[in-house]
Amino acid sequence: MDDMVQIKKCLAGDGEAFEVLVTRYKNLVYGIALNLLHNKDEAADVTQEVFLKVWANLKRYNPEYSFKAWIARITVNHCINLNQKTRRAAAAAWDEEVVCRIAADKGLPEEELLAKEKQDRVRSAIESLPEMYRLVVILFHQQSLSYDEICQVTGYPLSIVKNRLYRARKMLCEKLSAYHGREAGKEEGLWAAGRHGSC
Amino acid sequence: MGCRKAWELLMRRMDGEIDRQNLRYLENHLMICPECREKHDSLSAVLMELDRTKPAAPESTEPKVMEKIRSVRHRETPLFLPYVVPAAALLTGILVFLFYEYAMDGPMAMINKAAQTLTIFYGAYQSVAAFSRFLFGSVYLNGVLIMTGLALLGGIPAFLHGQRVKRGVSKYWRSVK
Repeated sequence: MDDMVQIKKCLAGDGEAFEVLVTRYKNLVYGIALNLLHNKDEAADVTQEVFLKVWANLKRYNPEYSFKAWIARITVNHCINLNQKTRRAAAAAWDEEVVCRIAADKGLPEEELLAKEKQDRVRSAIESLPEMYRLVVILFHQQSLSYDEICQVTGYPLSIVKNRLYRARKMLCEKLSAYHGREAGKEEGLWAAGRHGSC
Repeated sequence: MGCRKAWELLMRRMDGEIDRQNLRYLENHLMICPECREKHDSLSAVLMELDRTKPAAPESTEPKVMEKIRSVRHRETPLFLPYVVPAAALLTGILVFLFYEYAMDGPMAMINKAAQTLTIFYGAYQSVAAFSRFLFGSVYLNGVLIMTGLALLGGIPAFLHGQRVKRGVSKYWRSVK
């Protein structure tokens, strides 16, 4: 409802009311853009472009739907169009950041390094999800959109959205469990080798 | 309670749709089942990571957006301009034509030319009216005919634009699928 008050002010010609909406939703737009484009500078540019688009199309906004979902939908469409134009390889895009992170990790205590390694593992599991699953996970768990809002963003029925989120969680579990399995196997191997060595 | 049921409850918990009794069941199961506990821990780690890495937009977003909006608003064309310009051009053309006639042949020639032009327009209107009478048998329907023609003229570009937008959207969602 509060969004509607600001929108009405904007439509009445109060441009400054739009700043309130930008402040409220800039993290949402930036978060989605960063997850789809994998580049901070581009995500920042897209955030500005999306808000200009929102400003230009504010008259077309249908108040029956959530404003948050409307902005998210514009952002997702904008990012996908951009991705299609540049045909970027999504998987390789975090490389630069990973290199920076590795450089920054040097000199950290062992516990922190292990914690960081775990975070990287979780992050790479999320990144390795197919886009249609990753988008739903990001929208639901990171951006706190409801199921209804995700339906509005993606244009899919509720059953499909629920199913995708369910599968995405399952995939994440399998990926992380596989890693734990390998780690456990390694530890068992080391233990067995140590035992064998000691005998 | 089996692991399958525990997984369903875990999903419901992540959706925020679990009641107190089922939550207790789930917690009891997690205490005795290492496999389910591992799944639970993995998903909790994912949620923590997503929350930890929640991106924050640059501080400069608002000033930059507002600056661009202000500059666009300054450049914005007044709404009436697209209608005023063609009307003004037409009026100027008519005045120039009449002035030319006046300069060349005097005032009577100018009046004659103006009358002739009006007669031509009136003749065209009469032809349309006669045609619609022939088609529909009623003089009022010529208005319908003209309006249909105008609607088609406006409707065709609107339809093509709609198709283009629709194609763009579906192309995007195909890519996501």
